Amino acid sequence: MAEANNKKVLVVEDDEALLSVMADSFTIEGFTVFSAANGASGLELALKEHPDIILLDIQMPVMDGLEMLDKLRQDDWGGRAEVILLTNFSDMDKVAKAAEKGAYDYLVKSDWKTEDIIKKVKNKLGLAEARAAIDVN
Amino acid sequence: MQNLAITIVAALALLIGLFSQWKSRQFKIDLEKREEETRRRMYELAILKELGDRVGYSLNVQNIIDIITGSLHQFIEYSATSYMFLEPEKIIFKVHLEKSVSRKFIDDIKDRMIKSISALLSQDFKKMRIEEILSGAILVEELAEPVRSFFNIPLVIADKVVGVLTIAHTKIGLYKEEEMTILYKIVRQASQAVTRLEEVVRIEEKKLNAMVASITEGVIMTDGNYRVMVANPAAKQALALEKKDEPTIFDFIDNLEGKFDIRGKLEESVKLDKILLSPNILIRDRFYQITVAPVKSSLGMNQKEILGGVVILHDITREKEVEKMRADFTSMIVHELRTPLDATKKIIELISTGKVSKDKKDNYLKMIYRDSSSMLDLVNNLLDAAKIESEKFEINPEPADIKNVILDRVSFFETSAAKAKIKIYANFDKNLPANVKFDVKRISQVLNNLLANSLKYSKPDGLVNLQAILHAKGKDITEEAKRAGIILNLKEQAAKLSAAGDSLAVAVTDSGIGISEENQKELFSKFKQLKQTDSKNIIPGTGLGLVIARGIVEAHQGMIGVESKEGLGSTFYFTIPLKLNNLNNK
Repeated sequence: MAEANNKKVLVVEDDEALLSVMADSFTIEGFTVFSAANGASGLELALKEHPDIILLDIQMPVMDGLEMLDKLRQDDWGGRAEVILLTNFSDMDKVAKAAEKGAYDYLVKSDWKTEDIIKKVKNKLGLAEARAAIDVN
Repeated sequence: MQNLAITIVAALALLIGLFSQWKSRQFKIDLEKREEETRRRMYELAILKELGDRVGYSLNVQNIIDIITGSLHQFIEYSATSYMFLEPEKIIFKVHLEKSVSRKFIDDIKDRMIKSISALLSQDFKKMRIEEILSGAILVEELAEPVRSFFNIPLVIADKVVGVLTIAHTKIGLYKEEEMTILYKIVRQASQAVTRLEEVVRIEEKKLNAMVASITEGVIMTDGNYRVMVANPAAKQALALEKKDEPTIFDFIDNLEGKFDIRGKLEESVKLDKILLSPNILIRDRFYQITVAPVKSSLGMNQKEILGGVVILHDITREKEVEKMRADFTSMIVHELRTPLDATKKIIELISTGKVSKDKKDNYLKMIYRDSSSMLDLVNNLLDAAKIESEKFEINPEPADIKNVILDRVSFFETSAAKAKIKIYANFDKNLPANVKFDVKRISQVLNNLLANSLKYSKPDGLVNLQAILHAKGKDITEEAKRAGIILNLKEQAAKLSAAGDSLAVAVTDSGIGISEENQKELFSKFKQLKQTDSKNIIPGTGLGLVIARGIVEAHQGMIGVESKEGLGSTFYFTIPLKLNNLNNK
C-alpha cells in the first residue's frame, strides 16, 4: 500500500456521487487523488499535475471524455499519459473511437466493483501487490 | 321560195345536228369529268377509311404517312413519293421510287424538302443528320432526268409542323390544283385524326401524371429503352432533380451516386419479371427503400407485353427516426437509472470497509437519498407517461385557489432561482375565482415542470414570469390580460387561448435561450428531449416532463402550448376549464 503513496490518480466523472466514492476509495488506498467533474477542468488538472493514471468518464457536460482525450493526446506529456475510460454499455462505439486515439484500456463502470478498479489501476502502474489478484478479472 | 324554205330547213337541220353532236360531246366530257371526280372521291374515301382503321391501332405518325404514300399511286402519277419526318436528333427521309431515277434526282428532292421544312419552321435544318430510307425501283445513274414536277404538303400535328410530304416526277407540268387539293385534304384529315387521338392520350396521360404526382412516394416509370416516361415530384425531390422538367435515366443514375444501380435493377426486374426490393439506402440525408417492378400491358393484343419498369422510392426516414428515438429513449432511461444505482452500490461498498469518517458517511447518505429520490421521480414519470399513452390517466379534482397553488410553487423554487441568479415574479388577475375544481397535486406537477424548465434554460440575471388570468368564452385574451394589468407574452398563440371556453389561463414566461420553431412541434411528444445545437451545453433530462404536463392538462380538458423565439425566451401556457365535463372521477 505504501507504494501507492507517490502515485497520482485523476478521476474525471460528472456524477457527483460516483466521483466522490472513487476519489475516497483511491485516497484510502494511499493514492494522491485529483477529481474533476468535466473534461475541461479534467484537462487542466491533468496538464498541471501530470497524474500517473487518468480515469475518464465519456458522457460529461461542458467537455466530454473523448474531446478531453483528444486534447490530452496533443500534449507532449499527455500523449503518453495512462488513461482508462469509464463507460456505459451504450458508449461502445465511442470507446472504439477512443481506442484509435490511443486510450488503451476501458472498463464498464457498473460491471466493476471499486476494489477491482483499484486493482486494475495498480496493475497498470506496476504496483506488485496487485499482481496476484489481477487474474480474478 | 320553196327552195329557200328547204335550204333553211336543211341549214337548221344541220345546225341542230351539229348542235346535238356538240352537245353530246359536251355530255361525254361532263360524264368523264364526273367519273373522274367520283373516282377521286372514292379514292379519298377509301384511303380515309383505311387510315381510320389503322390509326385506331397506331398513333405513330410515320406509320400513317406510310399508309398514305403507299396508296397514292392509285390516283396520281409520280416517279417518287417521299416524306421527311422531324425527330429530336435527326430527320427521317423516306423515299419510295415508282420508277428508276438517278441519285441526283433524289438529292434534288432532298434539297427541296429541307428548304421547305426550313421555311415552314423558319429554322435551318441543313446541318441536321438525315436518315435516308430508299424503297421501290432501283437507282439508275444513266437516267439523268431532273425533277420536273413537284409539290410539297406540310405534315401538321397539333398545330406543329412535324415534317413534309412530297410528290415528284420527271415529266413536266403534271400536278394540278385538284390533285394537290385532294392530297392536302387527306393529309389534313389524317393529321386531325392523329391530333385528336394524341389529345385523348395526352389527357389520359395528364390524369395519370396528376395521380402519380400526388403520390407521396417517389415514382419513376421508364419504357423498354429506359427512357423516363414519368417522374413524379417526390421522386425528383428525393434526388434533387426538381429543376429538371424531364429528367433522363442518366440524371437519376448521376444523382444516385452509385448507391443504387437503377438501370441494372430495372433490367433485372424486367428480365426476371420480378419485383425487386432494395435494402435501406441513404440518399441525401433520408432513408429510402426502393422497389423496382416490371410494367406489363394488361390490354388488348399486347397483353403481358413488358412495357418498361417502375421504380418506387419509399421514404422510411420517419420510421427510422422513430426506431432510433425509441432506442435512444431506452438507453437514456437505462443511463439515468444505472448511474445513480451504480453510485449507490459503490458507496455502500466503501462504507462497508469501515474506513470512512462519520462526516463523509453523512454526506454519502445525503447523496444516496438524493439519487434514490431522483430515480423514484423518474420511475413515477415513466409510469405517468405510460398511463397517459394508454389513456388510463386519472385526476382527482377538488375546489382550490390557483393563486395559492402558484405562490406555493414560486416559494418552492425561490432558493434554486436565487442560486441561479434568476428572479421569479407572479402576476394575478384580481378576478380569479378561488374555488375552481382541479387536481392540485397534478397541476402543481405541471407548474413544477414549467418552472424547472424556465430556470434550467435561463441565463443568470434572467426573469421568469408567472401569470394567471380569468378567461371568458368569446373574449380576446390579450384584452383580458390588459384589463387585469398583465402583459401576456403571446402573439401567434393568443388566438388559440381566446378561442377557449371559460377557463383559467396560466402562463410561464422566461427570458431564456428559446426553442426553435421546428423543436416546438416536438416538445410535447414522448422520446423528444431536445438536443441543443451546442452539444457541449446539453442539459440532461428525460423529456418526459412536458409529455406528462400535456397529459395532466388534457385530462383537465384544457390545452397546453408554447410560443418561443430562439434567443429571446419562451412562454408556456395552459388552461383549466372552469367546469369539467363528464369526468370519470370520484
